Amino acid sequence: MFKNLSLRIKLSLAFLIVAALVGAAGYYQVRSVYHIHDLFFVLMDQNLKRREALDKSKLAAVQLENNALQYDQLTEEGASEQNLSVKKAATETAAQTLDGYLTEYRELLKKDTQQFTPESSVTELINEAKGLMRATDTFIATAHAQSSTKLGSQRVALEDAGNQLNGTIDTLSKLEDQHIAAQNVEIDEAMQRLILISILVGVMVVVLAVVLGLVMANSISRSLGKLKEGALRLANGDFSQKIPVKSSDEIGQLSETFNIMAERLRDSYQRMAFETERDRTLLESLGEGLITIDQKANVVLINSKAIRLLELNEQKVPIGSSVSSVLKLYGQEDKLLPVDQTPAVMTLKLAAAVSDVFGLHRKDSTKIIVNVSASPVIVDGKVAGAIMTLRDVTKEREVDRMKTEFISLASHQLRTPLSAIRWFTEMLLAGDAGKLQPEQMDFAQNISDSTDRMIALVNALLNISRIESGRIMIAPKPTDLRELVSGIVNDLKAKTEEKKQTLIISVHADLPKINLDPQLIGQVYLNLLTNAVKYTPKGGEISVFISKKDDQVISQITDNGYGIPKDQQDRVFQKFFRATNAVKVETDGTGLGLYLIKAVIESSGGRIWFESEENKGTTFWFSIPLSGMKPKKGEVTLDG
Amino acid sequence: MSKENPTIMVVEDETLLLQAISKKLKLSNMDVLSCASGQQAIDYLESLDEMPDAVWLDYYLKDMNGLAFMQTLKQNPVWANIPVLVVSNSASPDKVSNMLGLGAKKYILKAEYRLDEIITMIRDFIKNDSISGPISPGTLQPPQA
Repeated sequence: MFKNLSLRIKLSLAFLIVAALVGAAGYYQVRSVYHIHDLFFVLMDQNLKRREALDKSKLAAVQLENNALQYDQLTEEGASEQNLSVKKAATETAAQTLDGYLTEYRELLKKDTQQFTPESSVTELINEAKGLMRATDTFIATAHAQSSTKLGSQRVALEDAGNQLNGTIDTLSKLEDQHIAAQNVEIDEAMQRLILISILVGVMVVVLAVVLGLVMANSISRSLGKLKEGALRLANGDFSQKIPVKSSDEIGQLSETFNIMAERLRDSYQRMAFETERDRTLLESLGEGLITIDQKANVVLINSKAIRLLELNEQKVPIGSSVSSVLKLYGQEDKLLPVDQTPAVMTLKLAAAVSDVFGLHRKDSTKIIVNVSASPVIVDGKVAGAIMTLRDVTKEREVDRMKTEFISLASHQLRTPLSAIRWFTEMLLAGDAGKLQPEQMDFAQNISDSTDRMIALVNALLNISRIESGRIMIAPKPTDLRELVSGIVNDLKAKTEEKKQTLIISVHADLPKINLDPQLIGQVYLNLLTNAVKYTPKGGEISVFISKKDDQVISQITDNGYGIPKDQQDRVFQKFFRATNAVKVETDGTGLGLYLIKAVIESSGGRIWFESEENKGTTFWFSIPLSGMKPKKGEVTLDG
Repeated sequence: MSKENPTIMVVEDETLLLQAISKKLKLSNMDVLSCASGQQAIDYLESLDEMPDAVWLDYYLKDMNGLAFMQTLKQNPVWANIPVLVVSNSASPDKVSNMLGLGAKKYILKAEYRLDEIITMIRDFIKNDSISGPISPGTLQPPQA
């Protein structure tokens, strides 16, 4: 229960205990002193007085006896009547004195709180005294008779009475002496007890104070010691152990606060350790080499992938050395890149990310191609360093090359048999092998149509591979969009006339020439217009609006055709997707057109979207930045 | 022109295609020199007294590519003026520009055209060639500065 008390209350309690003890001891001592005082009082006021009364009684008895004897002698000597009467008066006075003392004694005895002297002794004493006085009177009275025999017997009686009284007084005196002695002993004992108890209490108080003090000090010091140990452990980084909290006093509360603090610290450390380890693992598990440099282009951190890539000594990581001494990049014509042109220096100087492909010489004298990307680390608006990633793109490039080769090969391989089918069917239909029967004609026409579709499909697939491989060439040149669209509309004239569709073109009056690749953007208009013509019934209307909005050129192609069903609209730009209503109306189609132009538009920095309602029509919009397309070197074009 | 029918040399290593082209050219009233390889075509040219009116050339040949064939053609001044139509499976920009740079009249993709469309193209070459020939010297313009 004491554990739950505060330190102040504990200390106060200990002090109170000691104080109570001291108080109790004081009270007892005062009581002892009073007791001793009582004893003394009794001794002084009763015992000694009684003793004195006895002594004086004895003296009076002796005088009485002596006076009587002297009276007898005076009588014998024939002394004058006057002298005799004086002596007789003296005798009477002595008798009165004796009586007075004895009365005093008896009165004293009555006050005796201890009832020490037996009543019978006192009675005896009084009787004896009266006997003595009677014997004295008798002796004096007979002194005149001068009968020596008689006198002699009276003398003996007197002396006997005197002796008897003396004896009794002596006995009582002895008793009183014993009593006084006993009283003295009792006082001595009380004194000794007082001294002893005083010493004992003193010692006890001291011991108790010391013990309590020690216990308190020990408890506080032990708790503080545990706290200190805990703090030391904490300082040494051991967060696992808790300080056992046994009390709820200030130290207990401190310990608890300490434990909470330790726990929070441990959590923070664990989180930090986790994060550090995670970052380290992240760096190490990166498939790319990573080098961090400071603002002087010295290596701060390098991961093992980079060490392996640069064939550095794993035991001697080049932290602190210049990155250009570690990373020797070869640029154009396999010449070592000057330091001021390295990505590290460039990114620090420009405070911007740079990325390029370089050659790297290996110890086995092979060369690999690495993509080096460097991004500045900007702290408080200042370049504090940079992070560089190294990626071995040798294989990637090889695979890329193989992919291009495969595309080229596939186009070659597929187009040859397709050409054969196409051309032989063409000759069959032309009657070059003799006139065909109507059904043969039908079949041959079917083969021809399917072949055309297959050729279109192969072309579309090739175009998609070209776009997806990123190897398509973008060759922008200032292009008049009205001219471009008019040309395409012209190509579609045969179709629109056949379907009796009206086609309107409206171009923003002040539209400048836009710097774009006419082949790529032409393909976009062609696909959208071909779709509009295909999926709009006879007599329908198709319009093209080209307008300028902010920094974008917006092209809008609207038809009042079959539309796209709502539930299929989210799949419009997916590869090979064709709407169910479109397939019914027009069997011809690859489902690749919109996918392809979306890729083209997005690679040009633009965007494509649409609105459509079934049986009402469709509107497609696409945007191209007014600034045009960025040129890009490439090895392929669409329809190559 | 001394003879009635133009002569077209077809260089195509795919026999089925060669067969189809030859058949159609013949049906279009043209004489055909069918060559299944580049070397065969060169041998033919060397042995012939009269040059063909046009050459139909496949770019990818088993023994050489179109580039090598054109270079051989251009090295011989007699052969250098024969109009060449390249009909190829592949029309990558560098191939097209190289071939046109070496003097090919046109470069087309094989599967994209019908035979009769290609034959019309060849007829146009031959016609234009003869127009720009020495028959009407008055039409010659001095080379532009």
